[in-house]
Amino acid sequence: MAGAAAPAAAARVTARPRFGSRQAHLKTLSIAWQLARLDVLRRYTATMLGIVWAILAPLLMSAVIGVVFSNLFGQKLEEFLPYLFLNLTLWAFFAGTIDGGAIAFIAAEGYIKQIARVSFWTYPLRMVLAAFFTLLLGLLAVAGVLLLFGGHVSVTWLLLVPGLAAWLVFGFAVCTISAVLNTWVRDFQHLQAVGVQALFYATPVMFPAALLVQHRLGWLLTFNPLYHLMMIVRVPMLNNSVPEMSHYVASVLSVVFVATVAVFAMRWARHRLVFWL
Amino acid sequence: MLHVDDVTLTFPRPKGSLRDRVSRAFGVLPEESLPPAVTALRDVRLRVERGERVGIVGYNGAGKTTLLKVMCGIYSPSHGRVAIDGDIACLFELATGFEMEASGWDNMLTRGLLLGLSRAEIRERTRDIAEFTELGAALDRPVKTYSAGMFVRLAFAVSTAITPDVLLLDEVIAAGDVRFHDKARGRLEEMVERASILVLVSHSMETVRQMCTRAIWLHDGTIRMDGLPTDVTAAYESGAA
Repeated sequence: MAGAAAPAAAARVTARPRFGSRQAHLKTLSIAWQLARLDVLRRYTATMLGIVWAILAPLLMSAVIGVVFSNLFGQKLEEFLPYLFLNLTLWAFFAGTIDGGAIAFIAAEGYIKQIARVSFWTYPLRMVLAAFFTLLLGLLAVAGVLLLFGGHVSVTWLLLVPGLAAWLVFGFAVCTISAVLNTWVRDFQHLQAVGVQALFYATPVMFPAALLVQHRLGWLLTFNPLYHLMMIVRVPMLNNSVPEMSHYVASVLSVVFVATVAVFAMRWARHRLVFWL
Repeated sequence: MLHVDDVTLTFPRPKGSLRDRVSRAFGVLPEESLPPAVTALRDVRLRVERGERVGIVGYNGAGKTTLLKVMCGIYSPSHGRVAIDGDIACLFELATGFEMEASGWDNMLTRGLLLGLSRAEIRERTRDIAEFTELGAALDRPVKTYSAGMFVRLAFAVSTAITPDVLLLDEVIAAGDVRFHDKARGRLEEMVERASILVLVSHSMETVRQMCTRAIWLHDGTIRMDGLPTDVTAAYESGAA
């Protein structure tokens, strides 16, 4: 019999990884990686300019806003443009993870209802990995602009590694929370969009942070995790210096906080999720 | 072994949108506007041991597919528990769960990973799977260009590339054209042979009598009859327990 002659093909598949084991985490990462890769390919091969769009779009936007706002705030364009470009790139990642989270489980309905024993963390992770790829591309472009305007690479850029790691975990957690909330209550997305928009204007993305302090709105900075997270990337990259410790402390606390919320949200949702789809 | 111990599954009442929830909280929308909760399974107790082939029969809406989904862990039971020894795989709804813009190859890899295969295992089986689908050059195309039959072939080929201990089947055998149908049957039989436990949901009494060593008649979420396939199918067909 042909089947007996080819024992290799008929060999048993090794036992499915046990929940919470190292192999289980690897499986989650492996699936998320594959799905994110497809997302990235789809996003950039569908258009003629392909991957260039990822860099060009925020760059063009920065250029337009930069010219207007640098005049408005009396900032030098060569300083303001990289500032704006970097901020918008980081913000796009944050907003992207929240938006991606909103559909993370809904887009995976076909898998969730059909294939057992896949960790639900896989689906927000997929969204975050795809967004993080775009973030890295954007940062490369930021570096290019920076060098063009006479900036230079210094050893402080090494601090981008912990800085971006914090963004990655923060994004993953936020994406997961968004995924749970939006699957639970479908039209939560509208409320969420308003929240993100409000946060955008409360965060020094398009304007210098000093402006808030001048207007006695400094507390908006102190309690805004995104401000601190932005600082731990911006200071090493744009100012070539080491960010203040307080930014790191605030960033770590924020990341730990959202990650904890995400874990509890998932624990709560685990046995309910499939019924919401 | 596969133990289903006093499992009850009640689908929660869908609470609806944020607007509905707020309206209800303020009494604008009456509480009765909520759709009623549906209990799909009631105190189902079923112990399947190594070597058994169980066929589940019953009318539409009796809870057959729901029972399979509880067994493989897609649905968590409201009460009771399910215990399984070994790997489990379930085959149903093969026409969903694709990345539409991605190629057949990429979907093959994705589904393989989701089913718990490693990249190396998938690479090893790729040729075998591709050959089985008979999709040829279509595998290079985005799957959004596929017909319903092609989707099922692809999903079926990947899903049957694994060898689980416990296999749950829901009449997916209705795949594609007639020729594929015969081939699919052969492949499925091979998979069934290798599994130590089979649970099959079918509307075909003939299939249940041929393939199974035991049959369950599920009626309105409870087990109405449990016995030899010939007895159970006969009772089911005559409509009396």
